[in-house]
Amino acid sequence: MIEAINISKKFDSIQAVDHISATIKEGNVFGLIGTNGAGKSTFIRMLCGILKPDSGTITIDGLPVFENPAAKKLFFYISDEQYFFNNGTPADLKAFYRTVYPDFDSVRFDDLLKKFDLDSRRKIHTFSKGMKKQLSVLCGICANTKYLFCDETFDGLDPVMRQAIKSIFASEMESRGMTPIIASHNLRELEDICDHVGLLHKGGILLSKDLEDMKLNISKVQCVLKDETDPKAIFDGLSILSVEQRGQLYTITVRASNEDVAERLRYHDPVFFEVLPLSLEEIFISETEVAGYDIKKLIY
Amino acid sequence: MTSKSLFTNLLKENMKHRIWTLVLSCLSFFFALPVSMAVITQNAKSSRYREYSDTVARIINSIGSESVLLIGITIVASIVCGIGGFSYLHSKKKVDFYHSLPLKREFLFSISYLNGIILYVIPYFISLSVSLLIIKSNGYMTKEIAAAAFIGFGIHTLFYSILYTFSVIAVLLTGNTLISLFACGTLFLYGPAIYFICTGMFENFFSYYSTAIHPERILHCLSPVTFYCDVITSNSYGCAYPNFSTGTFFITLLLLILSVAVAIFLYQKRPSEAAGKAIAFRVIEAPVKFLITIPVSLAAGLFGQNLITDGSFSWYLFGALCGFLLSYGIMEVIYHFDIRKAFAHKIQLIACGALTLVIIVLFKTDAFGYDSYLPKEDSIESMSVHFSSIDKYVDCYDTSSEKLSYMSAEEYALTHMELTDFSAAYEILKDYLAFNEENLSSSDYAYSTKGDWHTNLSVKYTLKSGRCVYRSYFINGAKYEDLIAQIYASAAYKEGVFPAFTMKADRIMGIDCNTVADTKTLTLSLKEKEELLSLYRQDLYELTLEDLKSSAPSAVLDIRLGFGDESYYISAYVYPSFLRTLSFLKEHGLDCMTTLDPERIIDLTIHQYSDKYYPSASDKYYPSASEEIASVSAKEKVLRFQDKKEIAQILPYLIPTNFHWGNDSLLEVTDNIEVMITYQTDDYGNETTLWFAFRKDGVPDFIMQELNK
Repeated sequence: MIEAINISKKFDSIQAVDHISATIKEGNVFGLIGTNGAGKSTFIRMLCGILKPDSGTITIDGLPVFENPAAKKLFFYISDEQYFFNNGTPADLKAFYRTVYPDFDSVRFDDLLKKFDLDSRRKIHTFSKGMKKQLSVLCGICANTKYLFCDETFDGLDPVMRQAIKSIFASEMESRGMTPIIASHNLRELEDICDHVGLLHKGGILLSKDLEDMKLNISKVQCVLKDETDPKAIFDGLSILSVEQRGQLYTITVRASNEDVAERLRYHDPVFFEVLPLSLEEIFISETEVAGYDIKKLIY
Repeated sequence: MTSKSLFTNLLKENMKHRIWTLVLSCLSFFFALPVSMAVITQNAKSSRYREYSDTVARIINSIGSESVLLIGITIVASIVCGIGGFSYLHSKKKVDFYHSLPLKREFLFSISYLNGIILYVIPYFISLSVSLLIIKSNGYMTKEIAAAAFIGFGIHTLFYSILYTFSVIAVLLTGNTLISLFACGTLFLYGPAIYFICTGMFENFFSYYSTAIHPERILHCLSPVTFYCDVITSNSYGCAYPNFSTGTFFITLLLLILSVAVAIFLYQKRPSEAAGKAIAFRVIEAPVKFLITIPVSLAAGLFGQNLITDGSFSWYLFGALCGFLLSYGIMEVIYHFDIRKAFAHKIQLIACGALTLVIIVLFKTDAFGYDSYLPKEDSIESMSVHFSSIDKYVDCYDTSSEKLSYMSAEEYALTHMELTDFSAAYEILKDYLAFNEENLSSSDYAYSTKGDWHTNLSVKYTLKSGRCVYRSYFINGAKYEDLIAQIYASAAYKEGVFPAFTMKADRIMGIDCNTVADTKTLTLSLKEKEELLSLYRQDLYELTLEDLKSSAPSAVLDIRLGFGDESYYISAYVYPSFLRTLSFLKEHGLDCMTTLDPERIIDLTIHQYSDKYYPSASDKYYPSASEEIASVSAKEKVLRFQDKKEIAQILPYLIPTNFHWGNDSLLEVTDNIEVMITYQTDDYGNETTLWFAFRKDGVPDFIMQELNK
């Protein structure tokens, strides 16, 4: 478990991270959402022990992380702008990481390079941005660390590659309990992978919740009602988050469980109704509106 | 993987990424050592005229601690390796990469640091070994060369480590490679820069600042580069065993240890977010700004004032103001990378400006009484004095260290003299300072009368507290002549001024005796040399100021002394009052007491020049070169004598010009009357031309009558 308690970081006059507390449980995919300048990279860099927090503590499996190789051995960090050795090749990278990470799996690395069609002898500076990202991820996976920090890693990956990486992540999580921590400003990117999401804004954490918990409390339903049926009356007593009408087709988002919503609708005998899955974006919009923020300003 | 194998593997990995530095290092040492040795030895072998010992000395100089090439490589390599090895700290990407690894910062530091040492030591050692093989194969190997090579290797490596560590510190203090270079330059040269600015300020503002000895020279030790060069250049050419004492070695080692400790500390404390910033530690921004802006302003003031001949203080202030604004602004722009922030911190700007102004005012007003300084007589242990116009011919050398070096007569006197009875000297200074304070003048030159002679008086006060204070004054010698005569008569004065008193007879390799018309070499045994030295010293003790005023030397002894593989010359004037010495010389076949033989004088010509023009020495030998001389020559009066009786009458009044210059302030001669004698030096018809002058107001009446016709 990674625990950050009340950490802050200031650069000159800019409060980059302002008293954040967060807990990242093992076995979950933690998504860190926020706009540019929200503090995601700074937060992750503190978790990795690159930056020293001005205040607060960060522990990984109970070990303080800053200047502690025992704690740092537990994770691999993929930066948003990953550094590669000048004139280096994937083979050079493998040799280096093998030295630093004792559990680095060289065989699997070579195997994955082939699968992703990356030449181990080719100079990395000739790779495209996407290929470099792929290489970073492969290094991270083959390091066999317990935690994997990814800062805007999926940027630059094509949808196919993104899915491939996600499936590798899932496989690693299942086989050895790897815990990825993924920072991004793209909700859609994290949609189908995150179990727990934290939203950062201006250095502070607005919310940090399990995705399932968020989904349980909000429902979206499309329905066609009989004449003179007022949709708001159907959900009287519940918090209606949005109502859209197109002709007789209503799309209603309401803070209630799917079962509650379905039961109420059945009572009013609609022509048609269907409970739709919510996107992460919709969940966030609703949650942040409760907090008094306009999500569009935060993440677009 | 064990810690040791991890370290070794990471060392190799780090070296892989510094391959260019390794290549440059190898190439540099290759050309500086094996190629250089091949060239020297091959040239020596193919030259018939080069002596074996010369070649050995040349090899030692090229391979040992004094090798200019090796010194240059050491300095450059320290900067390249220091900045190259740690410049990753200036890149956010690289910092994120390295500092996220499961490695302690000290571990990372030691890998990069050690590789920087290896990049210098290994190529140097290999090249050195190859060089020695080349020297041996060409038949020039001696144990001195081997000693010089390995001692030089040790010394250069030691100083490389220090310079390299300072370069690393420069990188750690900054966040940008270009700024690191500036920081490196500052760390390397700040000490000597401050030294020069200090001496400049002292010279500019204080009338009595002494330039003979610079206690501020200790500031050289603030710079690793000047410390290195001072240590290295204290050795003589071709010396295999350099002058590098145990004390100096331990100081150097201590400096290295301290600098490494500082570097490790800075590396640990350096925030990762400093990458890309000008200065890594905010807390040093202001102090660095002050430490640079203030000296630059003072130096700019000196520059501004010296732009104008006899530049006034206004020009100093103008220069200082420009220097201040520019240096302060540039520092701020460097810190913020934004020209609009040039004068951002107003309070710091004002404080820095105020401090600069205070320093200038302190100098201008001589607030600490530098010029008026005169210690209390009872606080003085001894004094040393030197008169620039007296015994100007004295040559001095510093033989106290392993390396022979020339020393000015002033420095020699201030170093060797200890006047415990300094009442006369003190009296001069007391009166001089009181007079100048009253007359608001830096010298009493304006109050002198015609016929007065002036001299620079350099003084060292050795106080009972152990402190030494130096001053230099320009005094009217005629006014204080009695007191100067008292000083001159003292044994302590003589012993401090004349190297003859510290000379050792067994170091005398040869003596040439020069009279007016002749030079002869004395061949003496060691015992005879000792006797001559003893007699000369006794005569010298009895020499008075009056003697200097009344007569020119009868002869000059050029004494050649040995010092290791080198030799040097000391001139010793023999005056007519040196009866013991002259008697000794006569016993050894050199009669210096008689003047020129009139029978051998072929021609005596007296030239009187116009007051408006007095030809220079070169004009005399190339009279056709100048129309002015031709026109002036028309105004010359020339008297020619060939009659031996007339010549014999003139001879006693003549002062030889080549022996006279050493005390020309005391023994004044006519400046527009010259005497040229064509003298037959031997019986084979060989002639020489000799030059003389008359004492001022000592021209015989019959000559004056002829000249005034």
